[in-house]
Amino acid sequence: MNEFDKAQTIFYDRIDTNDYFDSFSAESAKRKLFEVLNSEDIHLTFLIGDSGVGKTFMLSFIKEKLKKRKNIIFFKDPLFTKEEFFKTLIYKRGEVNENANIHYGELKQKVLKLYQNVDNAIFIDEAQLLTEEQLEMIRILSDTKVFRFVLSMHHKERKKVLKSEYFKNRTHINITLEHLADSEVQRYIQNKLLNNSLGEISSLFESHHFEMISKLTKRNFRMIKRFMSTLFELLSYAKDNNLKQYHQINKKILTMTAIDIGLINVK
Amino acid sequence: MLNNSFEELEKKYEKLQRNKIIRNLFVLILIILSILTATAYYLLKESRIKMFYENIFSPETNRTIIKTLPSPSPSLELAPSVDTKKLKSLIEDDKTEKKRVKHLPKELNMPKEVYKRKTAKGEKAQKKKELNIIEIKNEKTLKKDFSLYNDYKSALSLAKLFYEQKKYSKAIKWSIKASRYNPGADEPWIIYAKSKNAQNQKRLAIKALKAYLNNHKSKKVTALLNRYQKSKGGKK
Repeated sequence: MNEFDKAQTIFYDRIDTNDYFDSFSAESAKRKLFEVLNSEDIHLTFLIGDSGVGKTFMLSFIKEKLKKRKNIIFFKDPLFTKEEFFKTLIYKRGEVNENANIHYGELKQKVLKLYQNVDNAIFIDEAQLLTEEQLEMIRILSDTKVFRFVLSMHHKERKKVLKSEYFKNRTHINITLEHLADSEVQRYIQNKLLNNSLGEISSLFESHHFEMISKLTKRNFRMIKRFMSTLFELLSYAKDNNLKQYHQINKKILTMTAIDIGLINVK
Repeated sequence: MLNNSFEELEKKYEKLQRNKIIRNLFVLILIILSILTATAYYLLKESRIKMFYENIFSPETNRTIIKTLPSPSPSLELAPSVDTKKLKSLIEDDKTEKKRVKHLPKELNMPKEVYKRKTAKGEKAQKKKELNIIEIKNEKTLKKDFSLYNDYKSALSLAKLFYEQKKYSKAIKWSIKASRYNPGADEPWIIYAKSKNAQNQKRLAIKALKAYLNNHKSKKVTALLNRYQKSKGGKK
């Protein structure tokens, strides 16, 4: 295993809250989320951003940071029924619902009673997939002022949820998570390599390489990770096969990476 | 995991570079072609404008084209039928004249010997070609004007143009048309007479001027008639 293999693994697309990168947009979103979750008045918050911008990571990070102070329930997707939703909430309070045939209304009452005096927040990722029925349920629960909801959704599909009758007239906060800035791409890659004791690899990059990566990936967090992971896989192959022209990072290897992950289409 | 093998990626990269070179070459050729076309168009336009001005500012042209055409005076107007009839009779005379010329012995019309060209053949032909372009353009523009407005001014302009170009038959045709639109105006009659005179038909020119003066008053027509009558002994 050469050093490029190690570099490849650190850019795998996985959620590790220790990997939080303090980009300007992430810092801003984080601060606003903390404010909202400590507020008594805001019970509905939308976290909006393009695919791959780091919404799921942000929710996981916030959950991790507040786990000792708040009861946070995180739904990675809204693929649940109302009953499943309530049963999950009951389970998270350490209770088991013994009666399998219990009515929805009773479940709701039980949940409200359980969370009445609990500082809580419910995070739902991929909220653009919420059905009308689920939206109605969230509206009713947020109106009770017992729960705080944070719904994350894609930028493109936000209108569907935000303009729905359930939320149009409800007080809510929108927090937008943006892509990295050009200069942040370089800082992110270098920090990541240096934090993993890969300074030698970091020194192979020149500023124009970062510019090219930034341009190709459109500064999308997920895409940058994928790009770097693939780049190091190619460099590792070149080193193992003693292909000398790839011992340095150059335009060719960067373009080959972009071709492999589909950022450049060759007809 | 890679989606392509390293070798495949190298090949795709080479292909991409080739495509880029071809695309860039294509763009470069397009740019060069555009520049060349624009330059050629500009040069052609410049030379045309230059020649057009040379043409219209020549002393001969100054007299006719540059002058603004006087608007017809209503007091001079007569019923169109009267003048048209007279002009028609003149055309008849013109036709008989032509017939007479046709019956002249052939030797009179034929040059007795072929003279060598004094100027370079190519140069002269080129010059003639260039001049033709301008003439066609002027003629086309004026004819377009006439087809658009169908009025006295555009018919008269065409008559003047043909007279300047020494195309006397056409000048006569358009002067007759102009006179139909403004029967009282003297200018079509003057062009008609001048063209006839240029065709060595002074007799018909005088006849036309007299016919006009029978119904109208015009210093210009009178002056021209006097001039022709004084020199009547010369040309026929």
